[in-house]
Amino acid sequence: MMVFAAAGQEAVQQAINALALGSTYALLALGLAMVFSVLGLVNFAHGELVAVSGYAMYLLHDAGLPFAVQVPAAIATGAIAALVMQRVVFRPLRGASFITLLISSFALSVLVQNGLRAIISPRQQGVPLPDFFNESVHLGPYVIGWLEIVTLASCVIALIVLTLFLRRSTQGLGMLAAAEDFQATRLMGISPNRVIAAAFAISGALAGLAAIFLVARRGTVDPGMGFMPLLSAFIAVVIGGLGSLSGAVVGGFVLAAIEVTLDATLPGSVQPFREAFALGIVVVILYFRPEGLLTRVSEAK
Amino acid sequence: MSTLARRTLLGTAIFAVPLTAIAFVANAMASPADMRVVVNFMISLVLVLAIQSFSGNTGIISFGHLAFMGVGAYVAAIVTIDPVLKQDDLAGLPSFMAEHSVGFIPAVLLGGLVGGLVAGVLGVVLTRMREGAMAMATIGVLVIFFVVFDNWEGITRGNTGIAGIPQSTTVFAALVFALLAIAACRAFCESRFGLQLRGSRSDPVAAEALGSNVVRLRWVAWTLSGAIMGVGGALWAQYNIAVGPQQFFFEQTFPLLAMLVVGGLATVSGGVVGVFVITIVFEVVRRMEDDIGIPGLTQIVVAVLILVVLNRRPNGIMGGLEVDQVLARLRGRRRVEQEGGSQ
Repeated sequence: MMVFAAAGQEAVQQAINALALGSTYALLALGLAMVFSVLGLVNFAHGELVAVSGYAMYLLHDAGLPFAVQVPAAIATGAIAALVMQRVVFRPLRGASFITLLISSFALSVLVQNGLRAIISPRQQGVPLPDFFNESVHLGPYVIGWLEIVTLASCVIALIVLTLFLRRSTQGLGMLAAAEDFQATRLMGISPNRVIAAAFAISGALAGLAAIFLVARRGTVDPGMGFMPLLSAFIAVVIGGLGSLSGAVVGGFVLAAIEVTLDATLPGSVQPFREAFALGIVVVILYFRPEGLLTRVSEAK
Repeated sequence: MSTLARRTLLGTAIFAVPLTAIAFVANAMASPADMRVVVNFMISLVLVLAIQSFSGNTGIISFGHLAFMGVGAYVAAIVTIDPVLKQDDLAGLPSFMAEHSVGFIPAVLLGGLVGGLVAGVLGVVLTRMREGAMAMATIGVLVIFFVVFDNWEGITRGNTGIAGIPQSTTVFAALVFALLAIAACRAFCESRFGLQLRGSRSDPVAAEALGSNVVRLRWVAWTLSGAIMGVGGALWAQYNIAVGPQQFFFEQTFPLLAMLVVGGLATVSGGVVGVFVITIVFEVVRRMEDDIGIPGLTQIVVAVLILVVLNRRPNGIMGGLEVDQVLARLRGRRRVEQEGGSQ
């Protein structure tokens, strides 16, 4: 009995980890999907939005400002940086092919990364967070870190707010409509510039929010910090179905569940290959559902 | 002579002249540092054209091709280094591989063969996807192979990488393979497969309706380009004499894709021109970077160059034309001007 109870407890613990990890992936994947759905752009520079937001936290910390200031600053920085990228790089490329957009965003990503390297430093910089995040609560038999709780709660709140905005406000409905059929939405008299700018601003704000939790987990920032999370978000978006907003969120949690399960079950000798196994599973999923989990084949554009 | 053969020969010959001249000049007078640039330029031609043969014909960008370069490079490393070294460093090898080594050409062919096999297997899954999803999934391919190269201690020596590969790729060998790559990619482009693929690039559904099996065509292009990439990797390993996982990951993907899109993804000539331009920009800025002391300046300059080129010329420098087409147009224009003048 004891063994079973322990196994059950372990499983719950892992599930909480998967939810916290998945919610970070979901924030990033959702931002990617929003921009993709209105512009057909898979934004490689999305990871740099995370990095830029992380650096905003670092600079404010360096200036002696408290965490309570760093949080809104990170979110605002993400949103503003996304708007700047949109205006300077992507707007002149409106109507360009998928590849042109993709490669441009790839170049932009390299540019921002190396810009941070040249202007601030190529090395890691420490961003210590409130001790609070290292503590955990005991709920019955479970020990749950505050970081996991705050991450999950913030992501859930962000997703609820975003859903309300998209479903209840005129601007939000316009964006949902644009995600379905951008051309038709234009014909309905909704300004494409406003929809695209809003999509970028939201995706940047979500990246800024994700950056807070990523920095909290690592305790440092570096110019390439957005890269690995971005890769996960890419995979999440593909699992969920490229262009589907809810698919991106589901994909984030599915990917996290795969990673956490492999983490818990793979024997030690193959643990280093965990990432490869996770992606292998994703490839198998895609073999059976090439359009992703949440896109019906008939709906695919 | 068939159109395919004529265009392939002409398209290759136009580049053969300057490339051969570069090789001879470098062989006669280049310093060791300049020689490195020239040989790596020739090898980059093979690598970029490998990517071009898939992406240019299908219109689907791949971020995963460096995985096949890595496969070719590791295969070449494992089959060429001295068996004495293998016993210490590569304990995980099966005995027939640990006890024998082969020469330059077999190693290159093996690199291509294994690269093609690996690409062929992965391609079964990848080519079923839609264009955008496939491009994203190739990123997953790159990460999978990086993880394997980085951790398969007994075969790849993990993070340390494999050193002690004999340096067998000469400038002339690199030249020959670069020209072969140009000819092969051009022939593929002009072949029935290439024509059907390029037809499907603008409208896959219409191409299917006209009887093209787009998934199968993409699989053929993907596998072929994986094999060429493997050849390029094997050449690269046998010139740079050491291989490690970081050399087949994102940082190295960027310059190769930059070469391809700056020159023009759609044509073989675009790939060649792009490799030439980016190699020169890289070398000039890299030398300046040491003087000025800004880390990452080369990457910054190349990134800005890509953004500007794509903004001004979305189809790259060559604008979607082959060099022989450009020459034919110029000749045509001159004839028109002359006729116009004589009236």
